[in-house]
Amino acid sequence: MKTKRYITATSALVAGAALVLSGCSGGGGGEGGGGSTGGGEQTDSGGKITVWVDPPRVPAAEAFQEAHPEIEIDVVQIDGTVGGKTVKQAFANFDSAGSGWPDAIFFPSNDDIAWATNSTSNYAADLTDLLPEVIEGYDPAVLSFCDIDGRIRCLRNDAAPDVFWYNKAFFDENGYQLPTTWEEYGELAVQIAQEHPGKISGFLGDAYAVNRYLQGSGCPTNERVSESEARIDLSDPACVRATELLTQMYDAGALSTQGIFDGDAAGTGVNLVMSPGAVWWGNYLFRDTWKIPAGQMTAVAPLAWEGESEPTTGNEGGGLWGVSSHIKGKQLENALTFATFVATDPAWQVELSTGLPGYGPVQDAWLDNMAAEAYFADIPTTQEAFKAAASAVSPYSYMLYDTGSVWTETVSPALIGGSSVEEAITAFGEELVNQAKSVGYTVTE
Amino acid sequence: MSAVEMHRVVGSRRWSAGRIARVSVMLLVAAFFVIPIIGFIAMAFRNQENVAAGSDGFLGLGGMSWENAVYSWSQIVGFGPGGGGLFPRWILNSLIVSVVGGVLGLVAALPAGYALARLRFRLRKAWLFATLLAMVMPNTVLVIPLFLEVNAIGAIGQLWPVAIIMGFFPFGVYLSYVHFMTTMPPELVEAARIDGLGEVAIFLQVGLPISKQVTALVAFFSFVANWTNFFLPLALLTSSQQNKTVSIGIQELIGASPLFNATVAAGLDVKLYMPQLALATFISMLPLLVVFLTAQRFLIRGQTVGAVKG
Amino acid sequence: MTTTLVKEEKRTAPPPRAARRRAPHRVEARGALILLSPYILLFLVAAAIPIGYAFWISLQKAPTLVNPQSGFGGLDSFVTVISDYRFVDTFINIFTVMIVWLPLMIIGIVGLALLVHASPGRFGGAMRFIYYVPGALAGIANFVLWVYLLNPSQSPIAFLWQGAGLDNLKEVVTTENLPSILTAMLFFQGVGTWIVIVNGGLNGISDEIFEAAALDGANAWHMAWRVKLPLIRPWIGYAALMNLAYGFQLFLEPYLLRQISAGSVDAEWAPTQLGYAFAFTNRNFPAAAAMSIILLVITLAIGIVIVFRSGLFGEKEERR
Repeated sequence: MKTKRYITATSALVAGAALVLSGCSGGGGGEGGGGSTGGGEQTDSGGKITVWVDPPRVPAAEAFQEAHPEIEIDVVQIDGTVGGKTVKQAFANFDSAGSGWPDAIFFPSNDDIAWATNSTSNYAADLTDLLPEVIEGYDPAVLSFCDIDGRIRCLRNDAAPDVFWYNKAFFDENGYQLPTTWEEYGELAVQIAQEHPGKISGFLGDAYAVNRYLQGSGCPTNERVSESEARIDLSDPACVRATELLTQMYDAGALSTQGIFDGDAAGTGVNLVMSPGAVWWGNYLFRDTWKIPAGQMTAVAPLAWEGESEPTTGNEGGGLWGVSSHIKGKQLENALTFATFVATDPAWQVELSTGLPGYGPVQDAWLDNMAAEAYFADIPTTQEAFKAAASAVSPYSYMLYDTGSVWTETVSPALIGGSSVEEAITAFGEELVNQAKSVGYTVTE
Repeated sequence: MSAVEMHRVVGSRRWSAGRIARVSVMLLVAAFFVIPIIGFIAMAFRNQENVAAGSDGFLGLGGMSWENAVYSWSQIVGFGPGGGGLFPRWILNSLIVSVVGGVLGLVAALPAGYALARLRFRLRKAWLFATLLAMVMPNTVLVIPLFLEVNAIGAIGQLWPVAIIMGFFPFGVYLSYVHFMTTMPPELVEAARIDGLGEVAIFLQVGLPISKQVTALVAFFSFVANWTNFFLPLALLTSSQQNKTVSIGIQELIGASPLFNATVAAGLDVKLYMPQLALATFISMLPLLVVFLTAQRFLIRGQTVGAVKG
Repeated sequence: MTTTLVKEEKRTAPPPRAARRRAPHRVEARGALILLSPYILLFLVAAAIPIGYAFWISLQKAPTLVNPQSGFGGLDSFVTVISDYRFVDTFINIFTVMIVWLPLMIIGIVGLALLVHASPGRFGGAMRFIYYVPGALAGIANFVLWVYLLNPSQSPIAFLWQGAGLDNLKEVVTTENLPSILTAMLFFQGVGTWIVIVNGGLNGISDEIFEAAALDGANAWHMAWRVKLPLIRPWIGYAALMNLAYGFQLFLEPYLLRQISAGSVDAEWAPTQLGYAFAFTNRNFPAAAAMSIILLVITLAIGIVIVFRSGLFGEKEERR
C-alpha cells in the first residue's frame, strides 16, 4: 500500500537522522546519560562568586553584600518550594554539563543534601577541614544532618528541634496539667477535645508531621544504612506506638488534617492548645502567621515516651548551607567566607533570621532578642527548652526519596477521604518503600 | 445562508419557544465563559484586604481601582533579588523567543509550504506526511528528548535553543501549503518558468507577494503557541532565573505566594496575593491581545484552516 | 476535510496530467530542496534528532544516583519504566479524566456549534466570539484563572464548594477531584476553538442541502439532528482524536495543581510527569527517554489515524 510506503520513508528519515547524530556525538551519550561524576576539574574565577538562595534567605545574602563589599557576588533567588523539583533539575543539568553550579547555596529542602553529597553529583564540598572552627561552634546534634559518613558536608542555618508548645493562658484558665510524656499528651488531647470541642492539639497535613510524630517516636522512615541501602520499617514498635497515639487523638477530633503551612490554616491555628512543634513555630507561626496574641503560647522541653528516661523529639527543617566542591583558590575562599557569614554572623543570624541560630555562640544573643520581644508567656522556660531540645532529636537521615512529600500525598488525602489513621500510615509506608526503590535504594526492614 | 433557510428556520421575528430556548441556552453558556474572566480581570484591580474580607460586591467589581493595580505592579516588579525586576525581564525573554521563533517559523514555513504544494520531487509525500504528523502530535511528548539533545550540547539555561526549537512549526508549513495550493495555480508557476525564472525566484517573485495573509496567520499562530509554551521552557530554562520566560515565571510567582507557600512568602519583602497574581497574568496576556487584534481580520478565514490544530 | 479553502481548490485544481508525473525535472527538485532546507534543518533539530537521540539514550544502562555505572543496557530502561509502580496508574489517571472530559467536550462542541450555526447574524457571531475568548487564555493564564475559581475563600462560585462541604483550597484540590477539575479546566480552555472550527465546517457545507431540507419541511430541530449532524460527523471524529492525543500530554495542569495543593496531589499523576520525575528526581535519563518513546509511539499511532482518516492527507493529495 501507499500508506505503508510513506511511513517507511518517514521512519527511514528519522532513523537516518539518528545515525548521523550518533556518528557526530560519539561518546557524548555517556554524558547525556548523566554518567559524569562531579569530580572534574576545580576552577577558580579569581574571586567572583554566585550564590543561590531561596526568598527567605535573600536578606542573608544582602547582609553579606553589605558586610563584604570587597567580594564580587551574584545573588540568584531560587524557587523555595519545599519538595519542589526545580533546584534538583538545575543540578541534574549542571552535573551532566560539568559546569554552571553556584558556589554556595541554601538548599530549599533538607532532602537536597542527599543528592548533593551522593557520589554521582558530589556537589557539596567536604567542609570538615575547610571550616574546622565554624564546625567546632556547633552542637554535634545540630550538625548531625550534615554529617555524611563522618564528614561535614553542610552548615546548619537554624536549629529546628521540636519542643512542646502549649497555650498557657488556656491551660491556666481550665486548670489542665501539663503532660510530660507522649501518652499523657494523647490522653489530655482527647479530654480537651471532649470538653472544648473545636480546640485541637496538633496538625497532620504538612510534610513536617512525619518529623513531629514518627521521627519523634524514633520510627525508622529515613534510616541510611549505606549510600545505596535504606531501612524503612513501619511495623517497628516505635512506629506502632506513634500510630496508636495519633489514632487515639484523631478519633477524638483532637487533630486537624490541615497542614501548618496551608494558606487557610490560620483559622484553625488559633484553636491550637498544645502540640509538639519546632522552635520556629513561636515567631513564625504563632506570632507572624496566625497572629495569636502575646502572652499565651509558650514552650517546654520535649516529651518522653512512657518507660523511657530521656525525651525524644523530631526536627522540622532548619535549613542547610552548602559550598561547591567544584571551585578552588580565591573563589573557594570567598565562597567559604560567605558560608561562614551566613551561618555565624550576628548581622544575619541574630538581627534578621526568624529561626534559632544553629551556630552555638550566637544562640544566646538571639534568645535575648526573644526575651526583649516578650511574646511568649513564660520566657525563661521557653529559652531553656529551645537550648535543650536539640540533644533530644531522634536520628534521621535525609534521603533521595522525599519523605515529607510522600506524607502529604498519602496521609492527609486519605484522612480527608475518611480513612483511619492506621490505614493512612500504612499507605504512607507502602508508598515510601515504592519511592525508595524507584530512586534505586535497596530497602531493608 | 440562503433566503429560504433564513425565512423558514431562523428568519422569523417571532419569539417561538424553540428560539427562546436556543437563545437562553447560548446566553447561559456565554455567562459560564465570561463571568469568570470578568471576575478575574476585576481581581487584578482589587486589593488583598477586601479580597480576604469578601467585600467589593458582585465579582468584586466594586473594589476595582487604578491605585490597587499600581500597588500590585510594584509588588510584581519588586520580586527578585537586589530590588527585583525579574518580571519585566521574563516578559522580554518571552518576547525574544516568541518573535525569533515566529520569524524562524515563517522563514521555514513559507518556502516549504510552497515547495510541498507546487514542486515535484522525490519524498514530497513523505515530507508532507511527516509534517502533518508532527502537526497533530501534542508537542510536549518531545520535550524530554529535546531536553536531552540540548543538554548534550551544553546549552541548557540559554534562550537561543528555545527560540530555534520554537521555530519548528509544522502547522505553519501546513497553512502555507494550503495557501499555495489554493491561491497559486500550477499554470502560474508554469508561466513563470516559461518566462525563464528559476524555482527559487518563482517563489520569491510570484509566490511571496501574494502571501500576505498566510504570513499573518503563521505569525499569529506561532507567536501564540510560543508565548504560551510551558513545558519546553520549564525543561530548558529552569536552571537560569534570568532567562525564564513569563509562563514559567508566573509559576515561580505562584510558588512565592503566601496563599500556597507560606514559608517562602514569609521571607519575601513583596507580597503576592491573588490580586498580584491576577495582574501578572493579565499583563502577561497583553502581548497576545495586541497580536490578536492586529491579526484579527485574517483570523476568521484562518480559523477555518486552523481546523487542524486544536 | 472540508474547508472553504479546499473548496476553492476544487475549482482551481487542474486536470491530472499523467505525462507530468513521470520525470520531475532535476531543476525543480533542486529548487524544492533549497526552498525546503530551512524547514528540513529545523525538522532535524527539533524533531528527528531528538527522537533518534532519545531512542539511543533509552538503550543505555541507567546510571542512577545510587549506582553510577553506565553502558549499553538494551531494553532495561523500558522494563524500568513499565514496571515502575506508578506507570499503570498514570495512564489510568488520564483515562479517568478523558472518560468524563471527551464526551462532554464532544457534546459541547457539537451542541454549541449547531446552536451558533442556527443563529446567523450578529447574535451568533458575538456568541461564537465569546466562546472563543477563553481559548486565548491558554496554559498558565487559564491555570491562574482556575486557581481563582477553585479557592473557596474568594471564588465567585464559592457557593458550589461550600455546598459540597469543601471549605478550603486543599479540600477542593485533591487527587480524587482532579478528574473533575481538569475536565472543567480543559473544557473551558478548549471548547471555543473547536466550536469555531466545526462552525467553519458547517459554513462550508453547500447551502443547497439546507434549502432542500427546508423545502422538505424540516424544522430547526430536524435540520440540526438529521441534516447537519451527519454532515459534520467526520469533524466530530477528528475532534475526538485530536483531544485524545492531547490527553496523553497533559502536564502543566496537574503539575501546577500539585504546587497549590500543599503537596497533597500526587507528584507523578500524569505520564509526562512521570517522565519528568525520571529525568530530574531519579536522574535516570535512559528511563526518561524510554518514557518519552512510549508516549511518542502512542501519540504517533493516534496521529497516523488522524492524518489518514480525517482526509488531511488522502483526499487532497488524490486530487492534486
